[in-house]
Amino acid sequence: MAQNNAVPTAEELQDLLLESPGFSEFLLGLTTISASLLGGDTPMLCAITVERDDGPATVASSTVSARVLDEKQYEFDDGPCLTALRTGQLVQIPDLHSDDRWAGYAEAISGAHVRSMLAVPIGTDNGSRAALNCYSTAAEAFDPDTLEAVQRHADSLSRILRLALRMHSADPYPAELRSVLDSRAVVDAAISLIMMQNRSSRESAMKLLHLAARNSDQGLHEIAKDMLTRTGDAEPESGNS
Amino acid sequence: MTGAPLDPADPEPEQPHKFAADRFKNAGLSLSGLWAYYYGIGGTADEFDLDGYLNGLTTLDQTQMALVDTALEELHDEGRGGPASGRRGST
Repeated sequence: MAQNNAVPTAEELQDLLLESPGFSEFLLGLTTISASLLGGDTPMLCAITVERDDGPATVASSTVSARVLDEKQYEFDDGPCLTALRTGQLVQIPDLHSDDRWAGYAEAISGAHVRSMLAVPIGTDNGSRAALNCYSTAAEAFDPDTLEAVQRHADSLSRILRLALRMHSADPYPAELRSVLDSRAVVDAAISLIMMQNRSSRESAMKLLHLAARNSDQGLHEIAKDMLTRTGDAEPESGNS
Repeated sequence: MTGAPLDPADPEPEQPHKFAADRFKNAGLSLSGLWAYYYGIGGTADEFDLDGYLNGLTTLDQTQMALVDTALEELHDEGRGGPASGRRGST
């Protein structure tokens, strides 16, 4: 049974966002708040799942067992929470034993002794979807009052979750851009090395590196990398010879 | 062989930009893909200047012209592992 006031204050949520180093830590904090606010006589397990178009799904859970319950759905790529998340509709399972919509999933989690589930979508901006998932070991745990409390709680998380998603965008640098930046860093380091070794200008160091690349089967980036690796390897030996 | 010589003593093709432009066109690369690769191997000109160079409107200094050629050559050689390219996703 949910407590009367299951809605966290805006300050609590803001503090959580400011204090969390990353998105997954923030989400974890959010599930812990949810579990403590929504849990009543029977403890409630909470998990929040977030899917982003441009990044991997993030699952945070108030306990390890809640995490397993959520992750199992990804193995099946189907389940009550994923359905709530992807359709934007609330999904309720009053008793998992008598529900045949997700029989495979129900069997897979039978060891967790979960009897009832409730998955409520959390509003996000375009490009992402989120849902709050609640699990209880009691059947019929989500009476109309509890259901309303969970719904209100999920609504209260929407604003801060949208802010968090903007603050912690999935990946500011796509793989291609990151690879270009990595390559450039290696080339620049090799140029600096040649400049130091030859006391030369950047321009002539670049020419030298370029010439080395043209006279080999390797690309300029590989030559630069080799040059740095060789220098790194050669240093400890130089004292012995 | 490439269009722009590294060594000024090398015979310089009359129109290095045309050589590079043809190569660029035939490779079916995007301008941003070529520029990213060229930048990754140490290129210093911006994309606008690269575009101008390929279209014969502006010129680049010798080193940059040679780097553009190397970028085209390395991108052309699919078997060679390199930095991010206009066609390959990553290293």
